[in-house]
Amino acid sequence: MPPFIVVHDLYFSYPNYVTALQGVNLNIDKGELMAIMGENGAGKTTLVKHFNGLLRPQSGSVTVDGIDTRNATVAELSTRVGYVFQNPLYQLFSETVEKEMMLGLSGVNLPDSEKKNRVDEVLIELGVERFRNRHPLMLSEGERKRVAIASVLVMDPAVIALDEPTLALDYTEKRRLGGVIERLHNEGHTIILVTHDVEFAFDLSERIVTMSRGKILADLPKEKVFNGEASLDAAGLVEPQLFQLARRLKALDVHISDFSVEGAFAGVMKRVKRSKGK
Amino acid sequence: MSGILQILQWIKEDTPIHRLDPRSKMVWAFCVMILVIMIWDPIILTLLTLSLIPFVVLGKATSRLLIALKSMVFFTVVLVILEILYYGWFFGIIATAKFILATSIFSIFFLTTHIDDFAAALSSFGIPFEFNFVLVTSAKYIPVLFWEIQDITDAYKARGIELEKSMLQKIRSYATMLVPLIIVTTRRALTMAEAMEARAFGYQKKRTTYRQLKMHLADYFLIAISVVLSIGVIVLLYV
Repeated sequence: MPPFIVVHDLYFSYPNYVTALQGVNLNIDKGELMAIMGENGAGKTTLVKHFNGLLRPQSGSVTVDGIDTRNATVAELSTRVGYVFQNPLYQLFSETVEKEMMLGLSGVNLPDSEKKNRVDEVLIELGVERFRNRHPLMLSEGERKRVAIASVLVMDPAVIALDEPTLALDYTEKRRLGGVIERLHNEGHTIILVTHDVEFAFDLSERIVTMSRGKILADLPKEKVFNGEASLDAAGLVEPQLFQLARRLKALDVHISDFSVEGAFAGVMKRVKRSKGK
Repeated sequence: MSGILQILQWIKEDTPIHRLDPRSKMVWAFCVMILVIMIWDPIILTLLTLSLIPFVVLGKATSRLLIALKSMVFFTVVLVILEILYYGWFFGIIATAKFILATSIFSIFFLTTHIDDFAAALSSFGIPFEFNFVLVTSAKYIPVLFWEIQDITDAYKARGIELEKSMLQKIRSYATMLVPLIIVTTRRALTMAEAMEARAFGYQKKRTTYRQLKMHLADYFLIAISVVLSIGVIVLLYV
């Protein structure tokens, strides 16, 4: 099966600004959970905005589900790639959460009962069902974020791109969002996280693409990105705390291969048992 | 839209025109503006136009002025047609020329005067600081507002709604998009008000300024020439 999104030698620059993307090549398969990381201004958002046609290639090409984005409207592409913006306030237009869900669906050719079912499902899925008749503005930051995701999800896109999803979320909300993303991924959605939250990206994604100054620096499975194979400095990133800890423990002859709290704990215990045995 | 944004990119440059005191430039702009409004004579208008050239060239504002004027092409063309239909060829074309001239003078002033200097000039004329502050802040936030409108439009389109449909649909869409725009702007205004209070805005009635305006020889020269020439022209034409 060909990749769902194919980016080929993509160049893009904003008027009066330096080139934002310089020859980006990237394939994204259906069902992936990946993160695009890098410092501010690296071109992450610019790249992702090409996936649903908000930006069009100035040179090179972007193909989504076999469609060249230059020949499709944003509306057509939005049923394939959903985009959750950084600031939920920019994307909530209606006076109740339920109406917000119906906004995008109004243009979709489906029987009303089917639309209603979809809205019900999505609201329950994201745990915002009880806010159905509330004004989106009256919700907390995390709840609003989930409503924004829900409003994208009702369109049933194969790919969901989330731009800085953890911004302004507290720890509980962040974990909750992580759960939602994992569930969507398990249901078969392709997830693209645009973030510089290394812990969040490492916890969730399988593959990490790092960017700097409009170019892709590394495109690797997540462990390899933080294991020294990719230059984190160049991408303005710091490794997750577990990796920092593992590096120090290595000097004490503690070897960690599984980078989770349990994995690290097991590594330490192994070493402790060994020294007790001596 | 990006043309207008260009003008509002307040650029601090070091040219003879930027170095002029904003007050003398205000006098100059005011005098030329009066002439443009009063005069219908094509020769004097041509001379006036020529007199603007040194300001544009010395102020390194040529390209930005052209961008500004280009963003008004559509409006100007409509104006020309209406004026010609209404006043006939001669007055129609002159009236349009006057309009372009007036716009240019306005642009040249703001292209070569930083908004902070403009505010300082207003203050020195005795206009209350609160008023200037509102003026400067709103002018500075226009580009931000444009970016936000862009983001909101993008978010709206990304929801799968076709903007390019019928006119009625378009109007309805823009009305919907106003909701987040108003929310975001109001919130920012409230945050800003708090931030200003936290930094003791209005604690003392009398304010001092970091940058003091100072008139130089060139400024007196510009004021003298502007006033004498415009009074001279008006006297010659009307008395």
